[in-house]
Amino acid sequence: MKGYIKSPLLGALIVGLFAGGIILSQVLGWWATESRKVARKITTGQFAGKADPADIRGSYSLADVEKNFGVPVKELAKAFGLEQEKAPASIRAKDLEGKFAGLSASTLEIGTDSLRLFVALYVGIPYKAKESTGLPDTAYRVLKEAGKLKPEEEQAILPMLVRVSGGGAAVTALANTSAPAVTTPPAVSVAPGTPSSGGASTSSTAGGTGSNIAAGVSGSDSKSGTVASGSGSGAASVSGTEPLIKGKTTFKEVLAWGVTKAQIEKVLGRPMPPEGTVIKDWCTSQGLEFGTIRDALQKLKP
Amino acid sequence: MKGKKNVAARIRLSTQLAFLLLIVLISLNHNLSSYGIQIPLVGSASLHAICPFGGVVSVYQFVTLGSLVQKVHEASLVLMGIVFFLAILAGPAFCGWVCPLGTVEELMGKVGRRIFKKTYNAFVPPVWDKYLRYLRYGVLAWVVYTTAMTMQLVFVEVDPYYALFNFWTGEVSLTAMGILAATLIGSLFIERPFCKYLCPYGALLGLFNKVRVFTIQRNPATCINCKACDRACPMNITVSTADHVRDTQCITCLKCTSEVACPVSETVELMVGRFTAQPADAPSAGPDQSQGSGVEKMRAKSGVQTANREVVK
Ligand code: SF4
Ligand code: SF4
Repeated sequence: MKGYIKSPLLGALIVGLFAGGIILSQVLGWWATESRKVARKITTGQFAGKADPADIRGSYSLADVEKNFGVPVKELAKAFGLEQEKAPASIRAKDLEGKFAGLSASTLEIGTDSLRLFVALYVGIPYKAKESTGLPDTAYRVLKEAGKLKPEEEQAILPMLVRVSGGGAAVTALANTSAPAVTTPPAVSVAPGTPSSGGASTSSTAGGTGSNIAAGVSGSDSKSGTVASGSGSGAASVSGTEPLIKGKTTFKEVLAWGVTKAQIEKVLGRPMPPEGTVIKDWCTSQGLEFGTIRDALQKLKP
Repeated sequence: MKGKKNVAARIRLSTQLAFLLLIVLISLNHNLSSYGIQIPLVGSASLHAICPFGGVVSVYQFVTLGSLVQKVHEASLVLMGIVFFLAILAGPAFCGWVCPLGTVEELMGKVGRRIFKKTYNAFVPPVWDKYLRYLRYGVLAWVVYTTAMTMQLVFVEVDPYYALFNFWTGEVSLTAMGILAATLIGSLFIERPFCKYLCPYGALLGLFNKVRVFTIQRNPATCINCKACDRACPMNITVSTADHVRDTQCITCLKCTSEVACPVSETVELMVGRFTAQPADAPSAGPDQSQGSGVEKMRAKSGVQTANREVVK
């Protein structure tokens, strides 16, 4: 038995297969050209089968986070100072970066990874945040009030806390907040030329306690308005991994490392703006995640 | 006969142009949607979402973690399934009939053919060509491995297909733009250079040629050994000596068949089953036995000459 396929039949077969396959998949509910926002499941260990907070992506809205992890939008909005927003449920994880962009002098970033960390702590699943990730003090309070923090977790996140106020436009030392001080190791100021400009003063607190990223909220003796970042013996791991690219770093500074424009453009995936542009501002204007770009640029440092 | 051949060629070209237009419109729509503008009746998905190769690079993550690589969505898996099904039936027909990058390479090739005439698509020495054709398997292995390890769509950094339909957006890496430029310029000298030497998806689909149901077959009983099929093949496959084309480079374009290049009807066909035994009075294979008037007329009519360039099988 033999059978030929000629051009008209092959053409019809191809068009028919594509059209038919797409229609069938739509009927079956398999056709999706946008993320369904279903976080992947953890496959092993005691949390197997649970949604993985590490899979929260920049495109996830707070409603998506609630759907996947059961953390109420109300709690999320409270944690990230979004209660005044008109529709907090539709705010996306990557919008947080723009929202807290006023904190550009801080070495800690509040963005998608902060949301991952918050959700992980809320649902009790271990998560290793990036070293540059910051967590708003409001998030800390929500976790504390909801009784979600174990002592060791509390110790671990203290150096990440950033006090936010006025919609994230200002950050001050946690010592001045009403957040409960859990430990009171001395805050060590390590940042000469403490950033404080244009009403966007920033500060985070960290002190050494010897654990991986452990540090404590500075006690009442801590000075308002200083950036107290981990330093000294106890917090060596914090200072040792301090990001080279910070909120106010410009492309010019990166070029000064000896990195070429071509290398930078490869990371950016588009032409580099004028050298004096602040990287973080540019990322925000382009809708890119600063954290991702920053990490990739930092890897270029010789 | 000539009219019939033109019809066959036009059917493929129309199909290719239709898919090309669709992708251009979808890509435009996707970018316009951020300005609140929509072209009616055309989707506005990102090209990553509707790329069947996105499904392939996501398979490892999908199997191990149940999720897709960022920017890739379920539609990619559906399209991957359709293309695989088509490949089981008729090999990489996706490359020859659908892929918009392949179409653009072919359109550039038409210009190259006008410029270089018979030397077109014969610039790469066969001894190099033979090894260069394995390159795309290296690219395939690299893409699948690095995507599985990083869970990122790494191929987008070098993908000329994405670059071609997004070059105006500022989202395309310089490397991808460079590869696109090299592909377009290379197409003026070589037919489908990216498909031949670098395309990881073509490499994967090419493997289906080993098992496909409908294959390109030549009937040695009626073949007059004019080698028109060899000269027509954009992938430089020597059809004139093969009974069955199982070469991984065949893209099922049908250019070699009796519908288009072969001057003898029912001699090169896309088919299932085998050609029946040679009828006793039919012209037999080989130039030496084809001195009969029928064959001579056929040759004269077709104006074909015996190819003298050795091609890769
Ligand atoms: S074009 Fe047809 S007749 Fe000529 S060599 Fe090829 S198969 Fe034989
Ligand atoms: S062998 Fe025939 S169908 Fe295959 S690529 Fe060559 S011309 Fe096209």
